[in-house]
Formats: sequence, C-alpha cells, structure tokens
Amino acid sequence: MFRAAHGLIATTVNTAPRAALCRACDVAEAVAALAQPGAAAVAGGTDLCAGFNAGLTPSLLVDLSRLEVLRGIEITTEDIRIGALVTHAQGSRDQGLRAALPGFAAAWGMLANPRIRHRATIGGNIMARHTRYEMSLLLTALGARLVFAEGEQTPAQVWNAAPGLLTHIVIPRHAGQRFIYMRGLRPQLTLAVHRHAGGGLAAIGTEWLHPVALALADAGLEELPETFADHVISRWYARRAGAALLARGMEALDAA
Amino acid sequence: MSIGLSLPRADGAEKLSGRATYTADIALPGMLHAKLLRSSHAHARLLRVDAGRARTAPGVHAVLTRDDVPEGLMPVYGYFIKDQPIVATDRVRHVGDIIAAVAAETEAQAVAALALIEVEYEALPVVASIEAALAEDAPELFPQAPIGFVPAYGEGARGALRPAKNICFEFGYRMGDAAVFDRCDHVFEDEFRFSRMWHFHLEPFVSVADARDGRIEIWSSNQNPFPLRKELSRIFRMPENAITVRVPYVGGGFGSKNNCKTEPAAVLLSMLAGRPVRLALTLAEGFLTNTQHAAILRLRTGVMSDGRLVARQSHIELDAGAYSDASPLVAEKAGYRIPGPYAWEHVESLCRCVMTNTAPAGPFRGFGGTQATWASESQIDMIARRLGISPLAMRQKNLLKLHQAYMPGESGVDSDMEDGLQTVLAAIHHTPAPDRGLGFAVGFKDGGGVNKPAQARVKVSTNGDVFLGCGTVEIGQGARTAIPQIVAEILGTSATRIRVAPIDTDHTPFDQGTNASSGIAVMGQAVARAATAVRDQVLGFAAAQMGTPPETLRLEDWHIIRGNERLPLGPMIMRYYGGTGFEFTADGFFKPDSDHHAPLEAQCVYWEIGWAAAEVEVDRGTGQFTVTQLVVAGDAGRAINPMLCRGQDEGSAIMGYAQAMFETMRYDAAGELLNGDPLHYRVPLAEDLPARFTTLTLEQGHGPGPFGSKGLGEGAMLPVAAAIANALEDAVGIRITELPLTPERVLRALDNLEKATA
Amino acid sequence: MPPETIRFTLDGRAAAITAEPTEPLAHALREHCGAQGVRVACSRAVCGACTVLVDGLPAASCAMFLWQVEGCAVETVARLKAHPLQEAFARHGAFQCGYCTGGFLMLAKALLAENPSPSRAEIAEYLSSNICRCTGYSVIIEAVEEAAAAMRAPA
Repeated sequence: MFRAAHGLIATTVNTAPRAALCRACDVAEAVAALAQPGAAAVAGGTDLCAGFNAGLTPSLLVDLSRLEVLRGIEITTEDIRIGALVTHAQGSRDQGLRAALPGFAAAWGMLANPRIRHRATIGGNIMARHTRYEMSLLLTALGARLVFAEGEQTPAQVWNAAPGLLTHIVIPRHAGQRFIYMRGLRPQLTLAVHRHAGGGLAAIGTEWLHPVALALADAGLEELPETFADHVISRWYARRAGAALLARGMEALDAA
Repeated sequence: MSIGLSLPRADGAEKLSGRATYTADIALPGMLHAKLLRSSHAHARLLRVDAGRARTAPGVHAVLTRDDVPEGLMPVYGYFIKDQPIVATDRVRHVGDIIAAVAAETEAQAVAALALIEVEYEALPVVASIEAALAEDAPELFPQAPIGFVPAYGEGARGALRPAKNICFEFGYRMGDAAVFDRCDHVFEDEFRFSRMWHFHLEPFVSVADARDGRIEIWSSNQNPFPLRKELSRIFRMPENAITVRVPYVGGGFGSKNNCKTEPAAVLLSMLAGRPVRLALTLAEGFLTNTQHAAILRLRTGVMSDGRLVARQSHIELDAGAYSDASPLVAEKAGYRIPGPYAWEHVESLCRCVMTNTAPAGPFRGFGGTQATWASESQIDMIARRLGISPLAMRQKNLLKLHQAYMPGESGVDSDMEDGLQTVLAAIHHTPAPDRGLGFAVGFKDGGGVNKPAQARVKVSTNGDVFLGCGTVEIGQGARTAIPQIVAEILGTSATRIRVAPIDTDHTPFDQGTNASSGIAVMGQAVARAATAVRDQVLGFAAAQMGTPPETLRLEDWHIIRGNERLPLGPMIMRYYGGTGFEFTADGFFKPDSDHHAPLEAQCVYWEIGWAAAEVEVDRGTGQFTVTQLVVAGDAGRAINPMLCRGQDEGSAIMGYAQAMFETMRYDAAGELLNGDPLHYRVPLAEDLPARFTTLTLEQGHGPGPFGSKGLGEGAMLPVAAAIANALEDAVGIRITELPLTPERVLRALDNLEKATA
Repeated sequence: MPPETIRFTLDGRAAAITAEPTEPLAHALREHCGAQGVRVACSRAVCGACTVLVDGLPAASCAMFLWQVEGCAVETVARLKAHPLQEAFARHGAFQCGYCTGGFLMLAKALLAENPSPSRAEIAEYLSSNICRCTGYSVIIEAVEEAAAAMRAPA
C-alpha cells in the first residue's frame, strides 16, 4: 500500500507511471544510468515489481541482464567471488560453491521458494534491503564484503546507504570453514553460525529486524542489542531461542 | 445412481484450462477502471476533502467524495446496522477507510488522480483493541446512533442495539436457574483470547458495474447476490427489478464476500461517469475491507466433583472493527454456541460487539463458532485435568446424546458426538513419549443459517436435458457438482446431463446466500423438492399417456420403466406437445418453520460438528512445537460426493491449524495493521502441513438434507486450535489460552510452569 | 522513448506486443493476448496464481516486466491439453475455487520437468511456492504424485 501525502492508495506495477528503459550493455553504462535520478536496477525484477505496491515510481528502469561480468562464481584459495546476477538456483547448485562452503550453498538453496529461486538474484536479495530476505544475514555471519562499482561496503552498511551498482559479493575463505543456517523458526527468528580455525561469527535476524552479528562465545546472547525486538517476538525470546539455536549450530558444526 | 459418488467436479474443464470466468474477466465496452483513496489515520475528523485537481486530471471520468453523493441516496450500508458509508463523510474510523474513488480510463490514471486529492485530517484518539474501546475515557466512535434493528428472538434469547458506549449490539441467552451454581462442587473461571485472521481469498474483491438509464447491472465476486440486490435497492432507492446482479465463478470467499464490499462505490462511480466501471481491489486492500473477529471470552463454569457439567456463564467480547458489518449475527452465534455440545442445567451468555478503529470484522468460516469452540473446548479440558478426570471421560459424561435437544425449544443434535470422538482417537496413532502429547476437541455449531429460505427450479427438455436454477454460488465448495448429483439421483439421470444456469438475479430463483454451510442442507432441500416435483409431473404425464397409475412407473435415463417395459420419453412428449418440444418445470422451496419456542426463532436445520485429535512434540529449547499428527472428522450425514466432502473438511481444518500455529493479523495501539500484506501475513503453505494429516468424512446418516445429508465446510475448522492447545498441556503441562500458540508463548509458559513448581 | 515491441512465443505461437517498459507480463498476457488463465491475486510474487513458465522455468508474471521475456518461450495454463496433471487434478479434486489452479498446474509442470520422480516432501517443498487457500494442499500433492507416475509410465 502506497502511503501518499493524503492517504493510502493501492498502487501496483499496473498503476505505474511511464518509465524509460535502459538495457545496459556494460558496467559503465549501468553505473551512469543508475546515477540518474529516479533510476531503478532490474536484475530478476521480482522485488522491484513488489516495490511498486509501496508507491515506487522509477522513471528509468536499468536492465542489468546483459552484464555477463556480473554472472558466475569464482573460487580461489583466498575467497569466493559471487557475481551479483547469480540466481538463487544457480548459486545454491554451483558445484564449486558446494565443495568450498557446502553449508552456505545449502542455506542459499533454502531462500525464497523454487519459483522465485530461478529468477531472483543474490544482488537483488541484498539490494532490496528487506529484512525478510535472508542473504544479508548469511553474509553478515560470513564476514562478506559487497563490491560496488563505486567501492566496497559491508552488508550492515547497505541497510542505510544507497550506492550504485553491486557487482560482486566476496566471501573470505578460512581454514576449517564451516557454516550452518537454522531457519526452522522462520519467519520469527533465524540464526547462522560460521566457524573456522581462526574463530567465526554468528548472525541473528527476524522478519522485521536488521541482522545482528554475534560473537560465537556469547552463548547467552548477552550482547544482543536492547532494541532487538519486534511486534512478533520480544528480546527475551530472541535471546532464549537464539541461545538454543546457537548451541545447536555449534554442536552441529562440531559434529560435521 | 449419483449419490455417494466422487464424481469429478463439473467446473473442472473450465478451471483446469484457465477458461473459467471470474468477475475480473468481465470487460464491457467503454469500461473505466476505479481506484480508491483510503484513510491513513485510524480515527480522524475529515476537515477537508478537496478533489478539485483530480477532476480535471487526464483520463478521469468520475470522482467520488462525500461531496459527490447525489441527494436522496441512503449511502450507508450494513447487515443489521446501517453504519458504513460508501465514502467517508465526517470522519474516518480505521486505517483504510474509503475517502474517495476515481474512475478513469486506466488504473494508472486513476491512481495519478487520487494522488491529487487533498485531505485534511484532525486526528482523534484511537481505540485499536477491545480493552481500549471499553476504557472509561475512550472516545465514542459513533456519537450518533446509526439506523439499526434487532431481529426477532425466541425463548431465552434477546438482542439490543448500543447497550453501552462503543458496543453496537449485544446478544444474550439465558436458560435455567443461576442458583444451580450454589450446588456446584467447583466453579472455574477462565479467560481466553482469540486471534483475528484475514480470509485471504485469492480472488480479490472486485465488481464491474454498469449503472445507466435508471438500471444497475453488476457483476460481482459476491456470496449473496439477492441480499446484495436488496441492499443496493435501498442505497440507491431503485426498485429491485431495476437491478441485476450476476455472479460468475468466485475465487474464494470464506465469508468475506457477503453483502456490500466493492459494489456500492462501483455503482456510484458508474452513475457519475455514465460508463461501466470496474473496481478491482488489490489483495492487500482486502485486509482493510473485512476480517475475522478477535475475541475475549470469559467463561464461568460450575461442575460437580465427578465431572458433571452443571452451569456456564459466558461473557464474550468480539472486536467488531470500525463498522458493524455482520457483527451482530456473529455475536448471536458466538453467544448461542458457547455452551458447546454438552448438557447443562443453566446457561447464561452475553456476547457484545465492540467497535474499534480497526478494519471491519464480518463473516468468517466458523462464524462465532470458532471463537466459542476455542474457549469452550479449552476449558472443558482444563476442568477435566483440574478434577483429575481424563478429558475423554469428562466429555463422555457430558456430551449431548443423539437427538437430545441442544437447548429448550431447539432441535436435537443429529450427530453421535461420542462416536465421532472415538473415531478420531482411533485414527490417531499416538504413542506417549517425553514432550509429546495428545489432545482432542469437539467443534460445534448450528448449521444452515437461521430461518433461511431457499428456492430452486428444475427444468427438463423434451430429450431429458436438465436445467437447474439455484442461487448457490460456486465459490469453490463444489456446489455445481454436488447439487446436480441430488437432481440426477431423483430424476434417474446422469449428473453430466444437468446444466446449472449462471447466476443472474433476474432469472435465478431466490436464495439468501452461499453461507452457513447451507448449500446441501438448505438449498439441497429446495432443489430436491423441485426435482421431485418435476419427476412427479413427468410420471404423471406418462401415466396419463399410458393409461396406468403413476405409482407403477419409474424414471430412468429419460425412459419410463414399467415392469420390464422401457419406453423413451422423447417421442411420447412430442406426440402430446407437438414436434417442437416442451419443458417440464417445477420450483422447490425450503425454509425451516418459524418457531417462537426456538431461541433463534426457528429450530436449527442441522448441527455441524467437527472432531479433531492432534499429537504435538515440543522443543523445550525454543518453545517451538510441531503437530506430528492431525486427524479431523466431519459428519456429512450422507456424503453426496465424498471427494468434495474431504475437500471441505481438509481446507477447513488447515485454516484452523494455521490459526493455532501462526496465522494472525497484528495491529499496533495506533490501529496500524503491521502485517497487512501478502508477504508478511503468513498463510499455510504445502510444507506447513502436519507430517500426518488425515481427514475422515463420517456418514452417520441423521442429516435433514437430501438422502440424510448435512452441510460441511466449517465444522472441521472449529476444534483444531483447542485440540492442539489441549495436546500441548498433555505434552508438557502448559496451558495457553491465547491464539496463536507461538513458540514464545510456549517458552514463557514452560518458564512459568518451572517457576511455579520450583 | 517510444514504446517497444516485444516479441516472444506464447503457448507456442508467435506474439508481439507494443507496450511501455513498466507493462507487467501478467497484464500484457491477460489484456493483450487473452490469456485469461493467468490470474492476478497478490501482485507481489507471493501467491503464484499468475505463475507461467518462461523458457520452462516457473515465474510470477505479476512481478516481471513484459520486456523481460523478449525472445523467450512463455507458457500459460492454456498450453496444457489433456495433460496428465490436469487429469490428476480432476480425479483428486485438487482445486476448488480455481483461482490458483492455473498457477499450480504450471508450477507442477516445471517441477516434473526438473524432477520426474519427486518424493512427497520434494513435491510439498516445490508447491510451497504458491498459495491455495481452499484445499489444504494434500489433494494437490497427491495429484502431482499421480501425474508424475503417469508421466513416467511407458506410453
């Protein structure tokens, strides 16, 4: 529902005003187009279309689908580089990723649903800045970096800032790296655990709250921010259930 | 033979090919598209509504604000209380209240014009919950009394308009002497809270109206075209024969599509524009249009130490939302059904409809029975456990027996309650284990509506092709499949030879609406009478032609059977009526007798019962629990089409399951709906089903409908939430009295239990 | 920018629609191509009533722009003719109001193309892409199981 100046209007993509279309052929063209006022990037387009329901009225649609450089997953000993246009279905089934970080590939394969997974991209999931979409939480636990044409950001920074074109997601690799995502309580509460020889990180999130990184040693979630509560769950519950999930995640990774 | 066969659905060819026509598929020449401007305030005075700039916006043909309602209309509607305006006049009462509408050549133009309308609000204090609305200092939502009426009630029942501030209606029922409480060994008082769901019918509210030349033609996604016609006639002060309501296939309703929703605004816009208008809401707008009733239910129940139930006083408050809609009727049902299917010496119920600054609440599958069963079946279990009696023994001791009257003057129950309970218990394969538990409940409501008439017409052509005219809307329940099976059985023909005429109020025989699980038990009786009358005409005709008494003749495949003789009817008809043919036709009518001794002024047509047994396993770490098994049964009396019966019970049970587990609308104190969109409002998906989910259709054979049938469609929803809550107590000793049974509530209850026993 | 003409195939036939860049696929199919079986419900890619296949993969046509199917093969429920899924849906009563049915049929078609022998759990997971408010899903799952078996059976 669009909250217009004088009331609510049920806008949809059907009621959108006219917009121009730019089919960007390279990154530079996309960056330039996205820098224009009223520009909106279209990768899968799934979330963008939903945005019209909230009153989004872009004047320029920037089609990213021709940017082949934004596709593909590269894995080195240092890191995993995932192109922003990789779909959930492609990413979660990528053989290299499944070998390198099977817990993350499995988690990625649980996002959204089979119908969405074929179209929605990792970049779109992040850039939608939607607390219900889970990739930001996974990447928070993984200590991933988001590479924009304009520079790098952390997943947490993206919630506030609006840089231009996300090109890649970089997940650092570590010795003994393991990952598990527990989403059985979803949409109320989910938690990811990332462990490696040098330490690790957990991340907790809800349908409504930005994901929060947690130290693996914080077994009781003492450090969970005081504001971590929404209209579905209280902080008390997030701590209690989160602690149970964290312990289970640690145990599962130990057993793995 | 048709009865008892799982014939494939008659609408299959259309629905499985995508060719079925719903209202949104209707397009008229010159049709305009309408969109609405809704209040962003939960409660405010409208100081200014200025649509000046919208009127001259591109593509705009009509703008509807409070200033555009023609003189002489009655621009308010409602079932018993006419309190809902087509567009807001002096104030708005909920977020989403309609302030203005625009009809333009495209939806985009309509939206662009709406954005030009200026509204000045003066915020008023908001009451977004039952408690807030009943507070001493709460603002009065309707300072002036809207027009309203109280239906006639029989013995023990009463109703009243505006008994107190912010209560639009109350229903009371009383039977027996309250003094019996003094004789009870124990009196238990418990409070229950019932959550609020949205119907989430996939086809959003939609109407296409053509209101020109003193006539209204409207296609609408609506469950009760005849009452709608009457309401439009009253609003627009036009004779009912100047109004034609057509109802194509309806994409789900679950109660929401009764009475006026999109219709009045679509009609008025069409009048103003002089063009046909389609007003199609989005799914998200549905959350702002009509919902289930949240409720607070307080029960005071007196029992003997051996578990015999003696007396129950109930005090129910329903959150009616901003406008009364069907709330008085829901209150009547919740108040009447709250004693449950048990024998009592004294019953006293009060159910009040509390107005709040939230979306209007109205009919929802279960219709007060869901609220009542949740509280009643929870408390029966709680009392059993407090008395150290098994919940099963407690129910066995008190359940009404077959044919035993529900209340004085009321009809006898027409299901064997205990048999149903034993059936679901036998079907659930529960093995006790730590943190695993079993619960069960009996859902109970009167079925078939109150005092509800229905008419039907059956026509048969020269060659035995059958036309059925009946106003039951095909809303998914399978009316166009099951009802023809009744006709086919009576006429000795195949159900595939029966054509159900499209619904058009000019031609379709009168019906009060597709609601109250009345299709089979009420309309089915009218249809059966029409079919029987046609059959008798045909046999009478043949008997005269053959010079034999009609009792010696039978009808089969449009042949007359006499002994071993088999005579085709076609030639016989043409011989008598001429070669151009003939139609035999007859009407059927059904209505329960009015009866002032019956509390609701007529005895209940039938009793709609649902039994459920659930097994849960609780995770003590997170409070999450899973329903490992759910077995639900309904009593079809006689299943006209077992496949359709299963479909009704299964869909109904899953709605109850979702309400127990997670599905709920969440409002904040300012009256904002926090999850009123399809992404955040969680409905069950295929993966949410219990690991083992079984529905059983019982055929106990005591129904009043054709061939011993009863209605289905709501009963299986009723007991599910209580069965699951009861299973939780069995598993881990906690009692949750508020829906949904969220992991957080479970975890808190486990903590509290630990503290209490420490 | 003048509206572009978008070319694709719809249910096996060539289609060309000239429309604004914001034209959603579902709207284009319904209003310009008469694809009535594409039902719009949630307008948000949540419910899947508008599910079509784009180059064989399921997609919510309410949340796609028409231009995104340039050069693609688009299939709607109208493509199915006496398909084993339709027959199984009929036998099991796997639809009631019918509003979600076209979307479920196309979703199930994509599932069986991807996985001809899905387990019950795999069917449930895949079908969880779409919403049916009427049936409670069991009958839809059973119908897909039966259709899968029929499609695997040698002709």
